[in-house]
Amino acid sequence: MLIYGLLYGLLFFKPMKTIAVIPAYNECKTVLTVAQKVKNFVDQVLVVDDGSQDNTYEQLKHLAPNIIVLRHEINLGKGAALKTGCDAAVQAGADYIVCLDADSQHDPKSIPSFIKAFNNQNNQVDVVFGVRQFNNRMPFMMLMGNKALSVMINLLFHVLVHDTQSGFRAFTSQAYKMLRWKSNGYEVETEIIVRMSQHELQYTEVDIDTIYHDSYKGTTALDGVKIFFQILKWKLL
Amino acid sequence: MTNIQIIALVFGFFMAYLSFLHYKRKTLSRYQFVLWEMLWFGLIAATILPDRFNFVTERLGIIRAFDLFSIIAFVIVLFLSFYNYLAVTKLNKRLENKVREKTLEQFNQIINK
Repeated sequence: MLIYGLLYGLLFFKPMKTIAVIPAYNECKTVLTVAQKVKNFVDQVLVVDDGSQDNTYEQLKHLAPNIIVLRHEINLGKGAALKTGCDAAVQAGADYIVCLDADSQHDPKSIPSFIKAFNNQNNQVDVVFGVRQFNNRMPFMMLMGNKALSVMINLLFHVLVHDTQSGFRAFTSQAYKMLRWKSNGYEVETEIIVRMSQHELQYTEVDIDTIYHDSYKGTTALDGVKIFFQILKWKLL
Repeated sequence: MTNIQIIALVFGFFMAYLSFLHYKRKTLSRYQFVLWEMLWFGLIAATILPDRFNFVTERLGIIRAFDLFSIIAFVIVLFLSFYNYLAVTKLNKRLENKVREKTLEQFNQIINK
């Protein structure tokens, strides 16, 4: 019986496939290095060039043959690029989808802890959030905005995610089918949490290191205000 | 004729010409063209003969014809804003779907190689 079990396992064991999705917009300086580093920790890397005006797409296409590069003909926003990437990852048969930013603010060395979080828990985990360290390296406005959004989401949706705006997160492809968002912009991170709460998906958090580069890129105070009103809309409508 | 009437007249004629130009360039259909021309010539008529609208203003309890035009203009602007909002939302959605469809087609070609 044991031998049959082992044989069955050997014949039909399918290793879990992890695909990383990296949305990129005008990130030609960093995207190649990020994608190559990420490739060491996942089965496949999918970069979605969201209509960049620099040579992000051409660079990856010519210098990184082991990375799949997709291109939006026009710039649609981070949420849209992420959705295209995740749709493609599901088509490619991913079990786990890891999302991270192209500006090298996330350390790909943390990816194994995301995968471990899926497997290590006693109960099933659908979504894993990367949590940045809230120290003096994080810009003050970002820190305050993040905290405020975290409290607001906790009050309205009863989910406590300590870093609501971190783009470094992972989910199972089954969970993605329920999370599939509508937001095209930076509201995507918040919408994922809201949908996760609505579908009662299980989640956990892992600590990540972050390097802050350009304060004019990424989520700004204006995006924070937009996200605030979006949260109200998701709650009330 | 007051200065404001002259400005309104010039504006009305200019917009009527612009509508005609876009009809000739086939941006506007004949139906749309007629609709816009009616609006601009209505504005021109109201500018030249504001007293002709007294019977409407009296019925609505509005003292001046100018107030009536302001109200109508405001209603039209509100309607157009809402119409534009719907049109832009619809276009955005179509554009997003089209771009994603094309990108995923490209992806299928890559993985089927």
